[in-house]
Amino acid sequence: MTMNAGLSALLLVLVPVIMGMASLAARRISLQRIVVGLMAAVMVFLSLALFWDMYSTGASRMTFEADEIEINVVIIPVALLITALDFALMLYFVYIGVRWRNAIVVAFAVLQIIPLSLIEYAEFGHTVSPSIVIDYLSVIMALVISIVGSIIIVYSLKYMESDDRQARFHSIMILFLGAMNGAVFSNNILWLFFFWEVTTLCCFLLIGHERTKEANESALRALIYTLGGGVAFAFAIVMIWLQMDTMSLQEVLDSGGTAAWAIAPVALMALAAFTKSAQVPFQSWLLGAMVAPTPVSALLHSSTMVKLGVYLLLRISPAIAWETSLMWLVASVGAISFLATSILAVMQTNAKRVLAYSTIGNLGLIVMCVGINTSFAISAALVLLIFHAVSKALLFMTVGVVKHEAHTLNIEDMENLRCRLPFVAGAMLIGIFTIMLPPFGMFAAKWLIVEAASAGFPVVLILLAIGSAVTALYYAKWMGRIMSVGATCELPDAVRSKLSGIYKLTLGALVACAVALSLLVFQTVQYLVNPYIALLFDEVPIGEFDVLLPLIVMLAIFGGVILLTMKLVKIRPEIVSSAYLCGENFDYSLAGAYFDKRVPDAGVTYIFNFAATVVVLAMLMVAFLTGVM
Amino acid sequence: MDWWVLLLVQIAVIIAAPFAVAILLGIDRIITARMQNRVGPPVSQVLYDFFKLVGKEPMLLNRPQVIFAMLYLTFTIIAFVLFVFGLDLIIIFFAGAAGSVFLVVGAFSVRSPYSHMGANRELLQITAYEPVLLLALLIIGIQGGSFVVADLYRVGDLIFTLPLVFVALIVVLVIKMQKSPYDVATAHQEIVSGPFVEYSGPYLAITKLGHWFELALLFGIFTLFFNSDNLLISAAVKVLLVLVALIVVQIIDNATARLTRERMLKFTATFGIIAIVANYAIVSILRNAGVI
Repeated sequence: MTMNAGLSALLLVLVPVIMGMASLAARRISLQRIVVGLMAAVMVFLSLALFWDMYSTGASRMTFEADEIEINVVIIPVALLITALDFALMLYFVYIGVRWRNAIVVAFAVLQIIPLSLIEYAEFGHTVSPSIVIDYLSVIMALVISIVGSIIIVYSLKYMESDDRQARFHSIMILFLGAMNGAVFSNNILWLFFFWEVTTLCCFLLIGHERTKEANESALRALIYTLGGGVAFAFAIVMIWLQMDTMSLQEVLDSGGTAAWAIAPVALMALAAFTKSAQVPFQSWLLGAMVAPTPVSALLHSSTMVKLGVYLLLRISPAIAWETSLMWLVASVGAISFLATSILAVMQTNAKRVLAYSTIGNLGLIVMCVGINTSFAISAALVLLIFHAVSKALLFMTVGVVKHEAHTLNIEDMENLRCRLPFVAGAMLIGIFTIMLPPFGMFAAKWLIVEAASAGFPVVLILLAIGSAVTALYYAKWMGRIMSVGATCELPDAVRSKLSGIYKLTLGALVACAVALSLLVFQTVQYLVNPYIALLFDEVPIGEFDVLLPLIVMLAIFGGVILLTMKLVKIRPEIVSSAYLCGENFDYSLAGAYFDKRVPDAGVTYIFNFAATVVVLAMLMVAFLTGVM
Repeated sequence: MDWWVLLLVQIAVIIAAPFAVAILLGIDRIITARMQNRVGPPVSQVLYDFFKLVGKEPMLLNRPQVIFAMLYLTFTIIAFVLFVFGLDLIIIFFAGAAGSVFLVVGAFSVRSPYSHMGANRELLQITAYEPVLLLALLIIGIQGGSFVVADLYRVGDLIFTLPLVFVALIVVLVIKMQKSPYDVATAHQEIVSGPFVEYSGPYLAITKLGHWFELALLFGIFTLFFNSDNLLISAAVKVLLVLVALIVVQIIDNATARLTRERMLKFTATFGIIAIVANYAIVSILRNAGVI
């Protein structure tokens, strides 16, 4: 076993820390660009190197000791350092709570300090062996975080150009990537917890960046929700420690759930994951997070924060399978989240809000898959995780450009967009295509999910069927808006806005990723998803080429038909007619009034929150009852 | 059967399908006419209309309109071809669903009030029938033990175990055939022809062909409900099932007036889903009780 993968992993955490500080120091815009550009290049390279190292050694899981790292005779006590930082972080949360005069934040922070102190007091200087475990789940996450995350931060260089505090902003964004990478490599649960809480902090700081009243309130709400999840996580850690006397996540998963209270920490961790992934009934913090600048939304929704929640669920998925009722309840939370947000998204006209609901819904599908917990379902979850990251980042970024160039977030105002901003409209269309339509990658995930759900989860199946149709509704409506123009657009003198090079570069990069992933869906499954599935299950469900072949053929036909039609259909003035107006002559504006506010948001939210709360409470009951009995 | 004979049959089915659907639609028009005491057009009138459209001078509003019409046609053909080749029902469903979405986007991509209203209504129709169709396919797959069409053609008794699913699919057919009471998208007295209003000549023909393939797929799904080792009986019952579905749709069409879009959504979603779930529940209970 080589040390290379370990080094890459270490650097994937350290580089953002160093570059984050560098960005803080780089006051001039040109320096910011150099720092961020360098960071992006290094992170992309390191994550690819990590994958390459795993692939070329043929290992499906690598382990490393990192409690102490020796560099040129100097020994860095990493474990000790993380413990110290962890307590510093907790105290900082207390400080935030005091400063904002928010008793809940203080209480949640204290509730985390107590159990952690207990463990540290009893086991000071304990070691976990191995402290770092890298398998393909970590690799997938690292690739998503480092590549998609970096592209978003480069995009942010342009977006935040006129912001006075962009140095601070970028340094937090960069640090966020490091914390995410740290979390996905940690086998020591305390380390995972530390990085988990660092992401909570980064999220809080980024949402509150604008320092307006609304931003402050949203940031605080996000902090309360995710810190609450952190409390559940901290208690889960204490329960694990009391019963199994280990802090190694891998050992816990390998234990097979024989301990008397084995289910309780699993349920608590799932609860923590729900808050992080903004599942119903904890979704309100993510909707509030919309007030943050668009790059923050792109980052939170695609490659960081909410993805950490589903990462934890995927990580502990073998433990969720210990208890059938827990599987059911987790699947139900996911399915309810999917259906609720699909219905809510239809009634929105704010693009960011539509995307936020769609994120919660897609994560709901992943949560649902973890609940179903077959090899098919987990494969589906991983495929969805990868494709969702790329498409959602792309969509948020295009929405951000539209906000800058056309000064609107309202989908109804995006009429004519393909004429005004053809590049952005094209990228947006590709984003929507890849997120909802066959033969693009996400569809492979949806297909797997449906087949997985049919394995004995009929209730989930109904929610899935309704939600899936409704999803098509709001995305089709949106596509229609962008596309809607008269014939004027085809003429050479049509007005078009100039687009910044950074926007073109970053949007182009993500479009390329989305298309390449769709073309390489087979390879993605074979080289990234299957090695992880093989670790968990005896059989790998999608190995054969013939299952995925129709998708590739469809993709080729799809491209071919568009190109051919473009070539064959020539616009000449004499064949262009005007829209049918039933013989009348009037001026009109078009509106998607059909779906507006037929049902109040609050009512729908209330019903689904209630249902999901019942399910979450049932989950805690299961945790308690399995322990007592 | 040798593989090449099978392949030839499959290709023949794919080519013949739109013609067969056109003839069925011709029969449909004659039956309607007779119900209204008219003689009605010849049975191949639908085909004549189609070829006349193809030969017309093309007129359009813009290019994306045509591109999306082509994509609509492409994906309905893909869905049908995958079905004939006996592949996975879920992939077939999603390919068909993509086709419907492209039709809607095509209607949206022109700045025309009637077209937009039609597109919005078409979206509501999709929302109404798609969950029912997907659930029906899933239950067929679960009951038949496989989602692969080729395997499902070896399962004999679906019409006896899943009769309510068959009924729910007839509601889907009513919507897909643009018939009363659910012809809300193409409601001719109000919004001319909805999503199709801005298409003319050969481009209208493209959407027509797409629609025929869509119907061909739906009829194909009806044929899954009965299979027998005796090819003749099998074929006869399959044709019978399609005709029964068609005649029921006819009767519904002529006996009802158009309903509002809200009622369409409510009725299809609730009735369709309840019918399918009830059917599934009854089958499960009977199976657990050892009756079947």
